[in-house]
Amino acid sequence: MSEPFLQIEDLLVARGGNLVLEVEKLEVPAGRVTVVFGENGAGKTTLLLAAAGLLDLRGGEVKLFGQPFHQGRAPAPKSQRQKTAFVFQDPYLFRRSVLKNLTYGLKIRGVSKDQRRERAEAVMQQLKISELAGRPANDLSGGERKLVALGRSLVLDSQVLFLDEVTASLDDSAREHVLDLIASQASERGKSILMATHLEGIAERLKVNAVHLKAGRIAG
Amino acid sequence: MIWEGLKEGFVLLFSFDPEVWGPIRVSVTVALTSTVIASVLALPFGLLVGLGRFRGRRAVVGLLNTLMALPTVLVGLVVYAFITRRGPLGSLELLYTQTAMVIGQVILAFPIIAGFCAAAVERADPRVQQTMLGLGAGRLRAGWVVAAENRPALATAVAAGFGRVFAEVGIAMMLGGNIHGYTRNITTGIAFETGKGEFALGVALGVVLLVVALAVNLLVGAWQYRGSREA
Repeated sequence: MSEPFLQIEDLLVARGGNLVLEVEKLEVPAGRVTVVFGENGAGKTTLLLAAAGLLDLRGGEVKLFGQPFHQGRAPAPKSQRQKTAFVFQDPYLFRRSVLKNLTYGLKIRGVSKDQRRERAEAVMQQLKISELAGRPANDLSGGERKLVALGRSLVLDSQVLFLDEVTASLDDSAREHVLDLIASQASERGKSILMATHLEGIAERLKVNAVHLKAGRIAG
Repeated sequence: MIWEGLKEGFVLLFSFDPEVWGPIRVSVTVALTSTVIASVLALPFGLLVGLGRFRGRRAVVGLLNTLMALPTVLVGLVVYAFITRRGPLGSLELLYTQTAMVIGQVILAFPIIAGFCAAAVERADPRVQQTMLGLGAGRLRAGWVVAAENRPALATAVAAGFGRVFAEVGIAMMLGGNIHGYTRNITTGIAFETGKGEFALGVALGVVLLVVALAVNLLVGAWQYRGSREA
């Protein structure tokens, strides 16, 4: 196994006083895609949010590339979070055009206007959504919103990608295209990707490792 | 009597009678100044209370809710105690000035604007903040974007503050003193003119009060409609 980009130890996450996630030890290899698989309510989203430093931890620690990243209250430090990008299961798009949504994260990171546009256009081409650039984000369909949210994360060119049910709401051809794109992000660009899905067969399709979650615990 | 008063009131209003337009100018100037100052202070405070996670937050929310119903005469009384000649700020000679009215009205509007703002961002879509943090923003910037994405609700908060100070009479009377041509505003003018039996003048000022309230509501309503169409 290659060096882990993510190390989780004794992780405890509670919601409303109930323990919803308990992970004793998890190491996720760098430069590859790892799939977190489980049924609805198994704790996949919670695991991704906790690992990304976006959720309060009741206990335990998350390390990113061997460095302390997150423990206790969220969010994790900004400088560390900027090494990562997150695509949410039900993404929120800002009340702006698709192009502005795509470039907003780059603006936060201080990237120049010209570069923002250049990188956004490249990602839109990769995702085959260039024709959406000027559309208001709130006019998009569920699948289009998902693609824009994915593009908004890809454009950041972060070392780490957390993808939560990124292929949900996509039609078959878009799903295949997105899965190929995700695989290439790891194989060609060395990105470390943790991807949650409830769909069986995604790990086999991508030929990658899978972590099976069941009732908030790792089952295999 | 009401009909006669209305007719005469409209004549006074549209003949640009200085007895009517003087108090209108004072009301608009003082209320706008108070609302701007209160908004600058109260909106960031409301964001902090609505989005922050600190010990005693619930108590602060409860206090803001209580202070929303602050009686204007009580605010007038407290500020009066500070700025009266023998008060700790007496040397500033603020009593019976428009500045004194602004101070009192800022105190009145602050909890309303902060309370509405806190409630709005607390109920805002939690995905906005999470998305911002996920994109690598700091908490301050994330809070700013939550506010920006909820502009219509914040406009309502500011409008509620403006409505309260524009229509209040206790602070204007106690701290402004209803001085003709200087601190007499619409509400103190209505009370004074009606007391003198100048019913038409009182009605004319009352009509303006209603028209301004309606205009502010329409403006905020239009903004909210635009916001909901964008959503």
